[in-house]
Amino acid sequence: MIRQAFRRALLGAGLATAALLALPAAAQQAGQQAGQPAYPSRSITIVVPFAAGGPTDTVTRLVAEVMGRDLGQPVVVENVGGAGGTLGAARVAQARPDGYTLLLHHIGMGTTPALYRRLAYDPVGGFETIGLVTEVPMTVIARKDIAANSLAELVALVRRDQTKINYANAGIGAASHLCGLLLQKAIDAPMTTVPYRGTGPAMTDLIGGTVDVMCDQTTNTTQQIRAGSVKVFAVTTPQRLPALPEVPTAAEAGLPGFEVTVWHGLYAPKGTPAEITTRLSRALQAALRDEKLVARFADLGTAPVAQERATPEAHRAFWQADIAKWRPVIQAAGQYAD
Amino acid sequence: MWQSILDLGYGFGLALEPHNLFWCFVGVLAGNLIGVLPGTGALTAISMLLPLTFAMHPVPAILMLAGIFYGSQYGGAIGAILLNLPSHPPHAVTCLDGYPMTRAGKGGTALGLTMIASFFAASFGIIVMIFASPLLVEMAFKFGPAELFSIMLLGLIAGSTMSRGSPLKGIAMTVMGLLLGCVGTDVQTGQQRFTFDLPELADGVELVSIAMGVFGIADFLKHVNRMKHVGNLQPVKFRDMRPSLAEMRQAFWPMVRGTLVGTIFGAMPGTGPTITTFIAYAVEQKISKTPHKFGTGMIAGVAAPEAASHSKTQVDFIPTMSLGIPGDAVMALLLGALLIHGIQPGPRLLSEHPDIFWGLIASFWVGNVLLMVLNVPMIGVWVKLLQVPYRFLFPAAVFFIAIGAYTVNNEIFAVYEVLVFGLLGWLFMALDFPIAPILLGYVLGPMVEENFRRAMLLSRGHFGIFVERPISATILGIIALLLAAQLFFSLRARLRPRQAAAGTLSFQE
Amino acid sequence: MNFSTKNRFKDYCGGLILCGLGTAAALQAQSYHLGTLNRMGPGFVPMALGILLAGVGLVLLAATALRREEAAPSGLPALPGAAEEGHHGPDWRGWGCICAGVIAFAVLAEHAGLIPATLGCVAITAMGDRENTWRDAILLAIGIAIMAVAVFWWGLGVLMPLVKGIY
Repeated sequence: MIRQAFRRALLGAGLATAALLALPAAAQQAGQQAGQPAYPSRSITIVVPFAAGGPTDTVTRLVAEVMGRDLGQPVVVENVGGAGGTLGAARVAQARPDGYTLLLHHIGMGTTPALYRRLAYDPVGGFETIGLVTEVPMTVIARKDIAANSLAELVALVRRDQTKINYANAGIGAASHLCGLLLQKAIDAPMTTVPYRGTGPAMTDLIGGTVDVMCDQTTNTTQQIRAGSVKVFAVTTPQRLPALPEVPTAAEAGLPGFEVTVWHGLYAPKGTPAEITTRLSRALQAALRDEKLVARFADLGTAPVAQERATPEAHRAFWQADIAKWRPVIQAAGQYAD
Repeated sequence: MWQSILDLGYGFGLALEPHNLFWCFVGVLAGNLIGVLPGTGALTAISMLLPLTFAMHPVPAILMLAGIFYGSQYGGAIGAILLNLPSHPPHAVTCLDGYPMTRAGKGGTALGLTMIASFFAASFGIIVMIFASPLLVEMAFKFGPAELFSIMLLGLIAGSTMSRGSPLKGIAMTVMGLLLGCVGTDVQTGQQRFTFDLPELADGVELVSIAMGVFGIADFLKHVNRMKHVGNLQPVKFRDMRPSLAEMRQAFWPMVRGTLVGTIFGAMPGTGPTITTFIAYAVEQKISKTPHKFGTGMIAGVAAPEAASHSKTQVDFIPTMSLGIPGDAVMALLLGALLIHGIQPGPRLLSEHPDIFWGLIASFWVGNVLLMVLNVPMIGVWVKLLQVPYRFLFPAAVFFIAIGAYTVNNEIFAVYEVLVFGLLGWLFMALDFPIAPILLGYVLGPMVEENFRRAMLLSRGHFGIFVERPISATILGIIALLLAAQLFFSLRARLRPRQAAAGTLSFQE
Repeated sequence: MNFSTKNRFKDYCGGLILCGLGTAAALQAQSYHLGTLNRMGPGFVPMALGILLAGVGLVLLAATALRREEAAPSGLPALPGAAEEGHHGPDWRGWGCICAGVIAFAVLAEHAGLIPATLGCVAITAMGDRENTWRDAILLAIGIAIMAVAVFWWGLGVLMPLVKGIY
C-alpha cells in the first residue's frame, strides 16, 4: 500500500510535468479481465454526498477500505457534495443497479423526504438498503460561561428566557439543525436559531461566547468538551458514552425521549439484485467486526452498529421509522431546504 | 518561548528523519506539479491521494498531505503569470500584473519574484505559528458576525475601486459578482435564490468555474487567431530570468505588506485565501504613487498577493491544529485525514501528539526550502512552455480547464458553468469592463450578507451592534476614512486640469 | 468607425446590459421574501443589488450620452511586448470551436468516457485556429489524451471510465 501510495504520488507528479511540457508520456496499465465473472469483478464506487473531510466522508473511507479487502476488489470513495446531500443521492438513485455504484448517506435519508418538496429522484423508493453502519451520538453543549450547570438548569433557563437564548446550527438539514428542532420540541420552548454555514464557524462563535447553545455530533464536540472550552449537558443516546463517561444521558438529566443520533447507512440503487445486496451486507458486517475499524470509530467517539443491524431488513425498518419520526417535527417547524 | 524553541528542535529532528523527509518531498513535489494544472488544486489532489496514506504512519502521512497543500500554492501562480490562467482562484489577482509582465517578456522575472515572495511569506507565517498561536487563537474568538461583516465590507470597498479604468465600471462588475454570490440556498431560510430549479446550483456557482471562465476561457476567446505566441520569442538567457537587484528592491516592501495582510487574514477563520490576495493587491494600489500603472505589469501587483496567499496558508493551520476548527475546505480535508489516522486535532493536540504538531511545523519550513530549491531551476523550464505555439497551447489549456472544473466536485455541470462564465467574461472584456471585481464580489458577497443578517439576528434588530463592539467600530472608522479620502482625491483631481490622462483610461487587458 | 464612436457604442451596450441584468435580478428577487433592513428576508439583498446594478447601468448610459466627443480615447495603448497579430474582426470560427470544444467535453465525459471526451474537446478546440489542419488537431488530441489518461485517470485516480462500457 505504501509503495503504491508513493508510486502514485510520484508518478502522478512526474507525469504531470511531462504532460505540461507536452512531452510524449506513455502510460502502461493493467488490462481488466473480460467476461462475466462473479460479482464483484471490478472496483466498486461508494458515493459520499458530502465534501471530502467531513464526518460522513471519514466514516465511509474507513469502512470502504476494509470492505474492499473482504470483496477482493478496491472500493473507492467518490465525493459528490452539494444541495444537502441530494445531488449525490440523486446520482446513485439514477445509476445502473449493478452493485458497482453505492451510496453512504447519513440521517439525511430520513429527513430529506420532509425537508425537500422538489427532488429529481425518489428519496425513499429509489434505493435498496444494504445495512446500517454506525450511529454517532450527539451532545448538548453551551458556551462555557452560561448560567446553567445541568440540563435541568438549562431547560429552566430556556423556558424562562425563551428567544433570548441563541441556538447555533450548521445550516438547514444539518445534524445540529435537526437536533435543535427536537430539543425545542422536547422542552417546549422556542430559542432564536442562528444558522451558520457549516459547523466550524458555529463552533468558533460558541467558544467565543457569541451564541449560547448548540447540539452536535461527538465527532465535532469531544475535543472541545475535554478541553473545557464549552460546557456539556447531556448525550442524546440511551446509554452513557465510553468516551465521555461523566456526561449523563438526556433521560438521566430529565428529558426522557430526547434521543437523536446521526446514523449512517449503505444503499444501492433500486432494482439491485438481492444476491448483490446480501453479498455487500456480508462485506459490511465483516468490516464492522474489524478490530482496527472499531478502534478508529472509537477515536471518533462512535462505534459500529451490532451485526444484526447491518442487514438490508434491519436497515429498511430503521429508516422507515426515522422518516416517520422526523416528518412531523420538520413540518411543525415549517422549514424546507428548497 | 524557550520551550517553543526546544520543541521546535525536536520537530526538526523528526522532520529531518530520512523517512519523513522523503514523504515531505514527495508531497511538495506532487503538490507543486498538480498545482500547475488548472482547477485541479490541492483539494482534489489531497482527496484523491488521501486513501493511499491509510497504511502509512500518521506523521509521514500528514507531512505528505500538508506538503501537497502548500506545494500546490507554489504551482498555482505559474499558470496565472504565464497564461492568465488562475489554476487556483486565489491567484486570479496575480494575473492582473503577472500576465502583462509575461507578455512583455518578463515572465521569468515575475516567477522568480513570486518564488522569493512565497518563501519569505511562508517562513514568516511559520514563525508566527510557532510564537503567536495562542494570541491569534484569542483574536479569532473576538471576531463575531459584527466584526466579520465590517472587515468584509472594508474588503469590498477597498477592492471594488482597485481595477484600472473607469471606477463606475469597476463598481458595476463588483455588483455583478455580488449578485452571482447570491445564487444558491439562503443559509438562514433555506430559500433557493436564482437556482432555476437546478439542484446543481443549490450550493451556489462554483468558484473555480468562475475564475477559470472569466480569466482562462475569456482570454482564449479574445486571443484565438490573434496571437501566435504568448510571450515574445527572443531566446531567454538565464541571467534575464533572475530578478535584478533593482526589481528585488521594488518587490521588497510589497512583499512585507502582503505577508502582513496574509497573516492578519489567516487569524480570522472563514476569510478565504481569495479575499486575502485581493486585499493585498488593493493595499498596494492604494498606497502606490502610480496607481494607474497597476494592471500593466507592476512588480508590486505580483509580489504582494503571492506573499499574502502564502502567509495566509501557513497561518490558517493555527485554527485547524489548535482548535480543531477548519478554516476552509482544504483544512477540513486535512482535519479529516488526521481523524482517519486516529488523531483528533484540537486544543489537546499539542499535549497528546507533540510529534504531529512540531513535526508538521518543522516540515513546513523544510518543505518550503525544498520548494525553493525545486522551483528556481524550474523557472527556465516553465518559461520554455511559452515557446509552444499558441495554436497548440490553447486547445490543451481548454481541456485542462474542463477536466479541472469537473474534478472539483465530480460534476459535469461545473464544465458548463465554465463556458457560461467564459462567455460572460469575454463579453464584458470586449466592452472594456474590468473582470477581476466579479470574482471579488462573488467571494465577499455571501460573507457580507450572512454576517450582517447574523449580527442583526443576534442583536435582535439593533443596528448599534456594529459600533458598540470596539473592533467592528474601528474597522467602520477606517472605511469612513477611506471613503472620505477617495472623495477628496477625486474632487481634487477634478478641480485640477486633466494631467493624468492615463489615470482615466479604461481597462482592457 | 473611429475610436471615440466605437467606445461610445461599447459603453451604450454595456449600460444597457447592466440595466437589463439588474432589472431581471430585481424582478426575480421579488418572488422571495423581502423583509426589512433589520430583519432581512432572503430577497432583500438580491433586490437591492439588482436595483443597484440597473442604477449603475443608467449612470453609465447617462455619462456616455453626456460625454463630449473629444474626450480622451478610452482604449488603452496596447501592452508592451507581444502585439496582436493575425486575424482582425469577429472570429466566429475561433469562438465557435472553443465553445463547442467545452460542450464536447461535457457531453462526451458524461456519455462516452474520458478518452473520447479528451479527443473531442482538444480536436474541436484546435480547429478553432486557422493555421491548424485536421492532422495537427488530431495528433494534438491523441497526445493530450495519452497524457490525460496517465495524469488524471492513473496518477490522480479521477473516477471517470476511460471509455464507457469497455474500460
